[in-house]
Amino acid sequence: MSTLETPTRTDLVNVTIDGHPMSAPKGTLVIDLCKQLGIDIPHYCYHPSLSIVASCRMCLVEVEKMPKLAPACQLVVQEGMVVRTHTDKVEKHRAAQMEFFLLNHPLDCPVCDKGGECRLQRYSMDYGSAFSRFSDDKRRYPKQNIGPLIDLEMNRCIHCTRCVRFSGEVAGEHELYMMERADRSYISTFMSRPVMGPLSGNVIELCPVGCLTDKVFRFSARVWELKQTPVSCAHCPAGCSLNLWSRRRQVHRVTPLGELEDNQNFICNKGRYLSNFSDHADRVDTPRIADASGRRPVSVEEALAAAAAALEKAKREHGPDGIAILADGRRTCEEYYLLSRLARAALGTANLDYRTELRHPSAGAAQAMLAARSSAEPGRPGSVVILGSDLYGEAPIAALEIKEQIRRKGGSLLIAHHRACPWFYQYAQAQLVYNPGQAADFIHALLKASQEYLDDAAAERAGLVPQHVRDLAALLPTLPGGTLLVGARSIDGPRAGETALAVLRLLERLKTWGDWEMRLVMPEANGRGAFEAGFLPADLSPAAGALSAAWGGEVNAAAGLSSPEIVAAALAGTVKTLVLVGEDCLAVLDGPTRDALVRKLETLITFSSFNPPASWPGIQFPIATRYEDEGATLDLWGREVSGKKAFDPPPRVLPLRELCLQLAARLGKKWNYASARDVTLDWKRLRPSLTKIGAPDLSAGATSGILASGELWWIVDPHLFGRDPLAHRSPACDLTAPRLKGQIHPATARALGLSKLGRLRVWNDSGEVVIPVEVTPLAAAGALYAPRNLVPLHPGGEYPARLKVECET
Amino acid sequence: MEEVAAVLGLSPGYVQSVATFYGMFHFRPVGRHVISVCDSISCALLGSETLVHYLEKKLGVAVGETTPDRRFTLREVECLGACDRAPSCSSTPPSTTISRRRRSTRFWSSTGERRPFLSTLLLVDTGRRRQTLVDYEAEGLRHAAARAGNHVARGCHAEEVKKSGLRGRGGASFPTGMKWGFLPKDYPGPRYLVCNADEGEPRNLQGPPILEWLPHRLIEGRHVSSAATPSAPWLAYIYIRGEYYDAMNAVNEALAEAYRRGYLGRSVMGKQFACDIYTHPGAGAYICGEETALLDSLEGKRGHPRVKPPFPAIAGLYARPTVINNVETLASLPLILEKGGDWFAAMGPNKSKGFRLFSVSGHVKHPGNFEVPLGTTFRQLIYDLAGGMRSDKPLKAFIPGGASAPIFTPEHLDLPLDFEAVAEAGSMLGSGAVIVMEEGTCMVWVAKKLSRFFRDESCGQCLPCREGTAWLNKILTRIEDGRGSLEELEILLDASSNMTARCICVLPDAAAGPVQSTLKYFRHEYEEHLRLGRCPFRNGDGRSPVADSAGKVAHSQEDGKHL
Repeated sequence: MSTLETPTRTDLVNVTIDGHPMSAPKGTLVIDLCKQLGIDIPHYCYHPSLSIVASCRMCLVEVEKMPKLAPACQLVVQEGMVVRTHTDKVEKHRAAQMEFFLLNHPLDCPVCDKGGECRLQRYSMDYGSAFSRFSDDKRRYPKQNIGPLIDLEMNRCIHCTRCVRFSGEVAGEHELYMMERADRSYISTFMSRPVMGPLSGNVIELCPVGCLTDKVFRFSARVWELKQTPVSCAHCPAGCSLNLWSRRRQVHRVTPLGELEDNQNFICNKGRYLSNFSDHADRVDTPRIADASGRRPVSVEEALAAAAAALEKAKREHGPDGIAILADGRRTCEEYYLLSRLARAALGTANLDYRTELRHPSAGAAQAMLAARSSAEPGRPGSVVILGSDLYGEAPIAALEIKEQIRRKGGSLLIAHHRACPWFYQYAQAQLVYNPGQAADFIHALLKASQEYLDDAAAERAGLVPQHVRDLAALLPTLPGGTLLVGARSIDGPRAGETALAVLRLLERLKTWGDWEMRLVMPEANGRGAFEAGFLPADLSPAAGALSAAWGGEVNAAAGLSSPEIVAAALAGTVKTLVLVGEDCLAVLDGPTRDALVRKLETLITFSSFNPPASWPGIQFPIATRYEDEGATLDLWGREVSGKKAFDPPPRVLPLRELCLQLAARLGKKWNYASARDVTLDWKRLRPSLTKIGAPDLSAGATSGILASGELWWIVDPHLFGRDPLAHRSPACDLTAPRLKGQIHPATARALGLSKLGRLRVWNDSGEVVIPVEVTPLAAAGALYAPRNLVPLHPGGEYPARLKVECET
Repeated sequence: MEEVAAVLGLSPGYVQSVATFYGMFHFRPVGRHVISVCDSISCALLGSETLVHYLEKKLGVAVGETTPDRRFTLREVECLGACDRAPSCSSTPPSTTISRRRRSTRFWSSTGERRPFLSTLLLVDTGRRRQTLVDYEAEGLRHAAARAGNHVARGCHAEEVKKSGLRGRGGASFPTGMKWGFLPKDYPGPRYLVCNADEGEPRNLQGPPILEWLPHRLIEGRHVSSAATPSAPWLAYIYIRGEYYDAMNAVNEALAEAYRRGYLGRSVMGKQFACDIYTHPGAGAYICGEETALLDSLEGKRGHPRVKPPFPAIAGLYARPTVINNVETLASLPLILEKGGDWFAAMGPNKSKGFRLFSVSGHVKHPGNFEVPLGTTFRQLIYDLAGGMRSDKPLKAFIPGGASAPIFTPEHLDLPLDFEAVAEAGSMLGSGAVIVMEEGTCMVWVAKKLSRFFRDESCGQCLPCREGTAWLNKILTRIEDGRGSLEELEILLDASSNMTARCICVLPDAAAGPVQSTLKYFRHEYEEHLRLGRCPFRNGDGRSPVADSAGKVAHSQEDGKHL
């Protein structure tokens, strides 16, 4: 998350700090001002992102005309204020404070994981006494277990309540609380339940002492022995900057990037706990060629020669359109850029896509159009409308950023999706839940209502109360402007084109009311980067001139096949050569179909960090993971996040970037990149051209299907902490995994004869399974929410997916 | 707790956090009867420790436990507001306070004549029952609500109160008129008036009699103070200590009467003046007597004193302008209006105007509430009104203003009851609870008792208070036991001075007071403890070092039989 900027104030007041007269903006806190001046004011409970409690009393300073010492964290500068931060009185107070802090604090620094970055250590070096006057027994709390992720060592706690405030105010997860009172008070969760909130891990850095430590990391290394590398997170489109603490090839811990103390960047638990995948046993460490006779390791040169020969042959025999490249959503911008250059210039194919989650052929073009119409302006103030995205579940830090913006700067937050998000309850002015796949009807009803035509039928088709839509339509014109966030997952299915056009109509209407911009929330971690690197089968003819000038020679700038089309073509036998880059590129297919597809191919070339299925034939290249190569990504807002190389890949593993260059060379293309930086610069130069795509033909008209009896729509949106190729290769994967519970609307539950909690037998073509479900109005009526990475069923190619259900007795 | 959270739309952790803050919630099944024994200083002086030991033996359970047959749960609490009947304990249900004596009805006039007060001043003899509205009006005091709309222009009230020099009776003694003056003048939204009836300060027992017997005076006081400040609707809360079951009931009944009569409601006496009063019970936290902690508590949070500014007058309850007045302060208002500010100001010296209730407890013959004009001396209060020492033992020390006030010795007896004079002598009039200790009382034990009270009642927010109170208590407990070293007396002084004037509220200052003052006047007793290796006042049987506690035991046993 980016630094929350302080509101600009023009009024200045004159203050004197430690004898230096100066002026500061009205409303500045003395502690902040001192920090800017480089004056260290010791503090524990104060944190710029949290409310002020002024309870640690460490930051007291002397202020003229005030009888008592005043807390700098609460003191707002006033005209003529004279502050002294290092007088005898203040120093004596700090020494006294340190004595109080250390009275009951155990002397266990040698075994405490906070050692080296502990404020208590730091300030006791500055102000503490070497001897304790405390001769009684220290207070001891019984050891509590608050889950597998965070360790709570209450004996070390100094009761600053930073964790409590973070959990409630910022994370909105309300897990940690102060119980009891006086010196008996302690931090805990309700009945010691485990702390599992996606944002909860941040309390580890927020804790100024060793009370809350990383249970996964602890005891594995001393922090000063580890190498720190700034990288961009490979997990979700929020694209956070991470600080990777590694030793050799082992990621030991992950913290938000930025100074550790008073850091206002927060990260989610996925980035924090599930980034240690580079060392997994599944790692491919050598190129291999697999054929009927088995899988044999080869040298990189041999593999490259084979791949180049296969590609040349495919191009010659079936034409460039018989070749397709599918990459996962986690590549860096540079990698996507080189892949699109490889495809469009070297191979001459436009069949390339990163949206491996897409289900419907028409969705690719629809999403690309919305992506092209997205604004490039990050972090716009004002109101936020989230349409068709469970942002907190997809990209928690992006959701946090929006929530904090609303909380601190005001504005309205309006949400419409096929599932309500309780996390936003406190901040969202309205949350509408429409039926899965009916976003188009919802927008249609909304636009009609805003013109005061009544089209209740559309609202009802979307499963909404018409009055709610009318209320929303009345509210929108009153807002001064802001951001419309559209979830790309909702732009899918037979009505994808229609939905995309409806979104654009809504955007046009919003623009007549206020200063609105749109953003597409792509589910891929670096979806925005892939789009801006031209790695999609869109019509790039507007940029054809620029591309062929830059790349030289012939460039295929036409529209190609999108991911579902490539899959269909491969199954039909028209795409005969498939290049798969990254992990799980064919995840939309169930196992048998996927194997059938692979068998139909003439050539399969895979570039992956982890082993492809053993039965797969073809040329298999091992590649470096995200943290083994440098490269930039773009976050949800289009901000660039650069990542450095944290450690080397295994000996015979090359970065994808390097392999692309060598493959291009073998295909007879001379690319002049002396270094990784050259690739970056080249991409940035072409970036504006690559985002100019020709308008696709979005023919509307298809209608979504109707549920048969005994069927429910299946909301498959993957759970953030469910299995995914990187997450489940991190050792902590089982610890963060949530217990699955499906969600079902009360009305639907009644129809099925289900009470508050129950079990459902669900089945489709891919199998049958019994899952526990809770009855909650969060889910849309007629739908079952069951994340597909937690349910061992395959959703098939339909969007929205459907399931047959039966109440399990 | 989870169900409570679901009903209230809160997270269950929050409910647990709030509930565990307060002392009156049970988290384990308790017996049919919960026996709460007051453990605060007044009751302890008169043998509550013995009572606890007796009950422990009798019931066969330790404090905090429940008998196996689930009939009784024994617990120690801080002050049941019955210090005149010390040692006191209560059993629920029924909500009766069991005590050796009945509630004192002795209200003595300042002249020392033992005659009940007439209606001229605050307290009237109601014969130990609640004064009904009819009785109240019969007194001749016209209800302020009736006047509010009639002839007294709003604002005149405030002038009158300012003129009277009335100072808050809570403890900080802040001038009431000035406090009202801080309210923003033209605030459109609702404003709140909060009546602080959560004075849990041990031995401060002025509250209960007013609440139990004279609730109408309080209600009228509310009216006066709400009318005294500019228009706009008012909402008033009376926050009553959870321990005062009877007071709560009395106030609720009186409120019902007043509503029926039209003195309260949307339109008071048919005038354009709305005033609603709600009662709210506390749940056993001394700190909620601190006005901002009280507001937090009223909002349903943990009772943490707030960081100021903003002051409650600007952003108090629910971030609205709020006035918080003590019960006695409010109850004094009708008299001031009736008789005029000058009448009030004529009583008392210097800046300490009017009359005030003082509760005298401890080793005196007639513990109870006494209403005297300020300026009367402690000697008059203790010897003339409270009947002097209960036995032939002379007075050893007394606490002039509640547990938070540093201790005084006989040399201070001739000080007048005057805010400034007492402050000059190094203590404070505070809550007006005078606790008298006779010769033979161990002062280290007193300091230990008080430090334990403050340790338990700290909200735990600020470091110096949370750690400091516990540290002081640990050292004092040890010294009282005869273990420790002379250097630790210096640590006591140093630590207590490190606690003062550093925190959000003044509880740690209060906690430091008794330690510093006992060390100042009775250092030799501390040294004696350390020299002997035991408490010189204990007679070896582990009983509290309170003189003459044998007699009390007998009484306690009688009480025990009633259980």
